[in-house]
Amino acid sequence: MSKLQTSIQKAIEKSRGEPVQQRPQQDASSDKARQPEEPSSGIFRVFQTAHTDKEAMEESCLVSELEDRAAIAAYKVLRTRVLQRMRSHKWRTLVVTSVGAGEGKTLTASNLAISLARDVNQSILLVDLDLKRSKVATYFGFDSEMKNGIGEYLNGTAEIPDIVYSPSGLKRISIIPNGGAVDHASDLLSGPRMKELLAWIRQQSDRTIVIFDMPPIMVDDDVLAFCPQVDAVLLVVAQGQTDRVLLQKTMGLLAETNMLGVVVNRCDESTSDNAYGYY
Amino acid sequence: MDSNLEYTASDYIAAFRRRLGVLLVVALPIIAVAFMLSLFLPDEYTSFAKMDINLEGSNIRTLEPIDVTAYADRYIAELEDRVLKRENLLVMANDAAIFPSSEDTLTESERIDIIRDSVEVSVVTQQVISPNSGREADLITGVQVASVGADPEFVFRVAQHLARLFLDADRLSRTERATSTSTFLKEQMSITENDILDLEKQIADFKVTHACCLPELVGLNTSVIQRAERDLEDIQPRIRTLSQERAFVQAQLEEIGQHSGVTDRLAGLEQQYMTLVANYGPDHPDVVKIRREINAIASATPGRNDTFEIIELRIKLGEAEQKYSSEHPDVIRYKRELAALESKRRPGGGVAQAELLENPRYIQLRAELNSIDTQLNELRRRQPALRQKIAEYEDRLTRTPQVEGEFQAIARRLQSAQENFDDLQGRAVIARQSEALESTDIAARLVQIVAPSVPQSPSGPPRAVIFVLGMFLAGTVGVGSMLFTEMTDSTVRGSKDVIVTMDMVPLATIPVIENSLTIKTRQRRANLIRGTTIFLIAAIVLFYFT
Repeated sequence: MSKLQTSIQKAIEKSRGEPVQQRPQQDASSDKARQPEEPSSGIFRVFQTAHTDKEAMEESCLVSELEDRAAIAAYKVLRTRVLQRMRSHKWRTLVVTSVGAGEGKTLTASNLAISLARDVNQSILLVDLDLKRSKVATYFGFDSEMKNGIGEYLNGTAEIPDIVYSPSGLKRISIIPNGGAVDHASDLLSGPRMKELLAWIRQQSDRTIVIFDMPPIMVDDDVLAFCPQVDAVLLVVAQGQTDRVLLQKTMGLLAETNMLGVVVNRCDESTSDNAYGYY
Repeated sequence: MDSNLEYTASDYIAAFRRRLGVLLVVALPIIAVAFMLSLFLPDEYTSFAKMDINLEGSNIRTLEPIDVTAYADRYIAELEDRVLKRENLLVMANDAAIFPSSEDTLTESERIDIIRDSVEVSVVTQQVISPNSGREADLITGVQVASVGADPEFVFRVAQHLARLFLDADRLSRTERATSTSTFLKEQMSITENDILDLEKQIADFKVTHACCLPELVGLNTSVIQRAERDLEDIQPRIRTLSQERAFVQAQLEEIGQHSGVTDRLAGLEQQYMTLVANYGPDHPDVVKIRREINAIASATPGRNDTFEIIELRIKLGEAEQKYSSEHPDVIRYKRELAALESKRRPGGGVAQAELLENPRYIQLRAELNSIDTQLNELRRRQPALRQKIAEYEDRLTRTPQVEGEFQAIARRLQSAQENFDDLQGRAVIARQSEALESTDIAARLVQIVAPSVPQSPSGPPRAVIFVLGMFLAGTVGVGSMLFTEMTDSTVRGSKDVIVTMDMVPLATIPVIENSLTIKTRQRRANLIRGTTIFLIAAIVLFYFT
């Protein structure tokens, strides 16, 4: 049994107050979709499979389905630099946020997760913590078949195994999506259920990077409430959209937080513009 | 990091690409409007008459092109004012030949406005070389009277009428103006000349009145004063010298004629005695004293024994004459006795005097004394005259500054009047030249060289120019809008902005991601732009070059 399986088992027992069978055996007998598969890399198990929609992913501009080589190259650069920094600081949890709405944080978080998961030594858990305007499941095209999300978990109507999905066609990546809008999100994010989830996450392999897709800083206080519980923050800035004054204010708000860095989205001076022509 | 923050060409290209949408949004409507205007503005027709200003005359060769041009320009402007006055336009507006009855719906003022809007008067210039300076200059050689409008027949009729009005106004103007300027100047010159004469007379009178105090006589007056002072200074020593000479001569005379001197002394004492007796009476001590002296001299002098008798008789005669008339017996008696005594004394006295008169030395000294007395009298008489002269000339000098001020005021007025006269004379010369130009047949006269005709093809509007200007305006406004948008945009514009704002180098810059849908949209847009561009170019080529 892998380390992840053991920790999930422990979490379930703790939450339900009774010992549970190992989920792979249970899933195998009851629900094929939730039947665990063999770990593809040996460092991360596969949870219930979410059937991704390639058209939806392509429409959402996820790099796994794109032919835009400039974009792919840019995300590779981002992946490399994120990995370097996180490894150097031994960070494992990362919040992806932005200054305002519509600046591409969910897209960046999703594409960063996909890019990071291409590394065979790395497993990724993408958590949709934008509890009011959740889009991760929609981006991956499995929103229609998703039953439970983190909202249900935080409200106590679902457990961790019920909310972790392994998207089909994508190896070494797991997703905890969210369904509808959740009220009192900041309270829930600093509540005990969230702490349990984080504890469970910390028990995962050292090679698992957890990416939290969170709402914009200037829109809600979710990020500020949740930041103390994560290792670092990655800020997404959209060219032609993010206001410089608000950006400075955001930097002030995040002064106490570890800044992993900033990503300029929709940039017309991409460094990979010239580079990808080399290939 | 600083070097990375410098903006390079690629940054500007990126900014241009970023704001290309603004350029297109602003520029395309302007281009479209310009294109529509150039395409759909109605045709304009122009009918015109061209008239030469005939300036070929003998006088014209002496004038500079710039003078001729100024004259011609002014003349054309004057004619234009005359022709386009409301009365003429009113006649045209009511002329059935210009406005047919089908256009009766227009009011009179609307017709006038239509005519006025259609009229264009312009000068025809030619490059010439100045005969004096040798430089090139623009010479106005004619005037073009045109009418511009949408109806070829209408513009022809208006142009024809206008040309006729211009020629008529030209003839009228020349006859009217032929002498007016020159006459005016002559009158002015006459007035100024009278002023000058008047002022000159004033100056002459002033000089006569203040002849002694005129500024130019200051030197003369000063020298007169100096001369008089010198004369006055010379007189004093001369008087002293003459007085000494006289005393000397007198002493010599007395020495020579001592006898005669005793007689004179006696006569003096007699006279003094009579006066004192009359005043104080015979017993007064002074009278007694003089009587003793007379007695002493009379006893010492032969022939003078009867002195007191004579004195007594004279006193008595005086008293009798005061009391009685001259025919009174006492008066007659006293006179007779006195005459007898005096006749008795005269022979003795006459002998002494005669002796002296025969002495040449006495005569010479007497003559010298007389001469000295004459000179002294003359010198003493001259002294006050000289002092009065000096005072008088000093007074003249004192009055000179005041006189000078008054004189200069009049002189200035005279100078001003003379300058005015000179100016008028110069202008009169020019006026006479103009008069000569205008009064001769070959001077400034309009000669129609191109008669108005019905235009066969439109003269406007300048469609290509409108389109090019529209393009230029679109480019200018579009680029301006781009710059304005870029300068006022406070959003993040690339990684350099992030570095400046956050002091942090971005981990990565993600380009705008293209999926199949956006690629299709982009391709569709590119095809649309290509197609539109080709269509526009083809339309322009077909419209302007076929």
